[in-house]
Amino acid sequence: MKFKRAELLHRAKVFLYSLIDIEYEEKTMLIEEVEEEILLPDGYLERFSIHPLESAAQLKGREEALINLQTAYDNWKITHTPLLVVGDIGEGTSSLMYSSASIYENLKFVDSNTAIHSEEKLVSLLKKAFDLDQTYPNVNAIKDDLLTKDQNYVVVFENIERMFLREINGFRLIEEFLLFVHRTKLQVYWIVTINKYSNYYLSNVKLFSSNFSSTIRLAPLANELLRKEIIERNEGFKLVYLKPRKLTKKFNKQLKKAEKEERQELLQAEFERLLYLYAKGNISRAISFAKLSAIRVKDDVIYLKPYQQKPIAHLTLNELFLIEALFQHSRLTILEFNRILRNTKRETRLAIEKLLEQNLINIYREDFGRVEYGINLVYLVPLKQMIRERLNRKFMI
Amino acid sequence: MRKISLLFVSVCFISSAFAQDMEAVSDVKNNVSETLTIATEIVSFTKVLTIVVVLILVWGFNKLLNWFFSNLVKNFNRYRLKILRIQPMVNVLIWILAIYTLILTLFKPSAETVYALMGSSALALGFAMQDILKNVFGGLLIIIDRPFQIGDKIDVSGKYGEVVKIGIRSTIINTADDNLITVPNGSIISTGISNANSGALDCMVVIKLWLPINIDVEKVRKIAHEATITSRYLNYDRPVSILFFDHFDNQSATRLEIQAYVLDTRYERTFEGDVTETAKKAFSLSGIYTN
Repeated sequence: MKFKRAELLHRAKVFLYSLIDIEYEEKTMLIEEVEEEILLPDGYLERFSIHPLESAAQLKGREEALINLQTAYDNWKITHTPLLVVGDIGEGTSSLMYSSASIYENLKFVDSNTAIHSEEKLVSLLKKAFDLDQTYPNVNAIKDDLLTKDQNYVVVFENIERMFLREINGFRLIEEFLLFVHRTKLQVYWIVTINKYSNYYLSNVKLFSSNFSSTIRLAPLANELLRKEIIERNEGFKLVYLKPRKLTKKFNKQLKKAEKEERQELLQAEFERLLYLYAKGNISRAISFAKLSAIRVKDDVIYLKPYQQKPIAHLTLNELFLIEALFQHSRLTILEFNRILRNTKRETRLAIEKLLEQNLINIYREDFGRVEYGINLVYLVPLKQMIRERLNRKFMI
Repeated sequence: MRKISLLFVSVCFISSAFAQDMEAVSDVKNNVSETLTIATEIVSFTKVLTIVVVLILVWGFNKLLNWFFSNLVKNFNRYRLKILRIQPMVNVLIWILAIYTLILTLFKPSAETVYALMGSSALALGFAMQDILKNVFGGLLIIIDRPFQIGDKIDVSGKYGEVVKIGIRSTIINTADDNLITVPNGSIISTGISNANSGALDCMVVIKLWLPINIDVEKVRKIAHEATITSRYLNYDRPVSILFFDHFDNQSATRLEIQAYVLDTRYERTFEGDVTETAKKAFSLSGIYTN
């Protein structure tokens, strides 16, 4: 309350001074209180782990995408054109790919969850995908070998955005790979997946998507499916909905008038409304909303207070470009950031520390000691909106 | 007897003259008081106070609107130029409306008075304030015709910069070296204006680099293209063109021209510098300069 009043007074002062063209800047000494972190039992939190599904039976709301995958495969048998699948982080692209395994004969996955910045790495991945034992000096040699074989393959190459680096000569490998795709497409049905922002960038500067005559774009999931998913994840618990942090006067009045049961119904409806608004059809975001909303577990009762995201503090241009680079490449190391943004190591380090402090990015430690940074799914939508707004990028969110 | 009659006649003459003078004095007095009454009716203390209060209120309202616009610009950066386009129009409209309403409500002029006033003031003002009026009408033309708007990068008679204010009399341009140049509106409408972005946030930037004449064109094109597409300031939605021109003036050389769009006109020079630096480093590394 005290903070609010002081803030209002400060704003009024700034406004009055700005009316008469006087620059006014007062360093406020107010420090907002931080809420204590809520600790929930590990057993409960495990229910909200996000991982790709492996069977079509588990996959929900992607029936149309599965039909499209089937059609695209049937078309390949005639036209031999590769397929591009465009999906956002957390939208379930991997789940869709794993679940579609039954459509194809002899499906191979190229796991490119790590960065591929050298031809040797690409060669080893392709060797693994095609079960090749020989030693190959380059991708071309694999192509030559494949063309001698009388066998068809279906290969899913996930996260192709990890194959380029936004720097001079950083596109060589992805171009080489696209050539390889074209040269082997008679024998290999290629399904390449990419995230939305990388597709937007690469298609504009390198005409990437024009290499694929068939494209499947994952649509947002229906709200009802998101609701069911949250209910399922909380199965066995009784859900008690609590008042959201911010309430409209009208809703507050309604709550006061309502009986206990009706009150719960109203709060549940409000919880669901906020869930849909936050998730925007993204299943992983819906799951994270439910996880962040759980504030207490007592026996078999879960208390849910709708998660309300704090507005992102002002980001400098350099920090925004850093975020954009993450959208383009999914994950990056400090060294890669420096190469992309032409920054010094210290500049990048400082920006990263600030973004980590604000919880906008996450750290991913790979088995072999590589430390990468990626966008925090919780802030995916507001960060995209910020990039669209401040960097004048005309992409669909 | 004759003297008496003469005296009588002169007294009568003097008294009649005095009476006439008295009449004239009282007429003058009446006229003055009538004029004063009319004048005080036209310019009364209440009216002056009303005018002052209304003008202050309009000024305050305009300031409030400008504050509102600047906040809108902050929150909706993408639509910055569209918002700023409306601002001068709204300001001018509010002033015109306020002055028009003041004249109508306080002075209630008849149609004849308005015509007479307009005719005579046009004649007088036409001679006395020729240049000012030219600038004012120029300002109105700029606002209506919109050859440029706030935020555009324009070139007027060799002065290139961002338009920061379109006023009634003059337009202010902020140059790349952060100088504010005030250009009278009259001179803007009478000369040609080159507008780099015409209301869009992005604008084309032409980056020129000089290279030896015997360069490997294919290699240079690839480096120049990648130096551009990897720049953080590039507008991805617009095409990038790479052009080569040979020059044989004093010393033979190749001029490389990169035509690309910057994401926001504010970063025009930064974009140019970024691409130049990256391309030059890559040319050096690949031995282009030593050819």
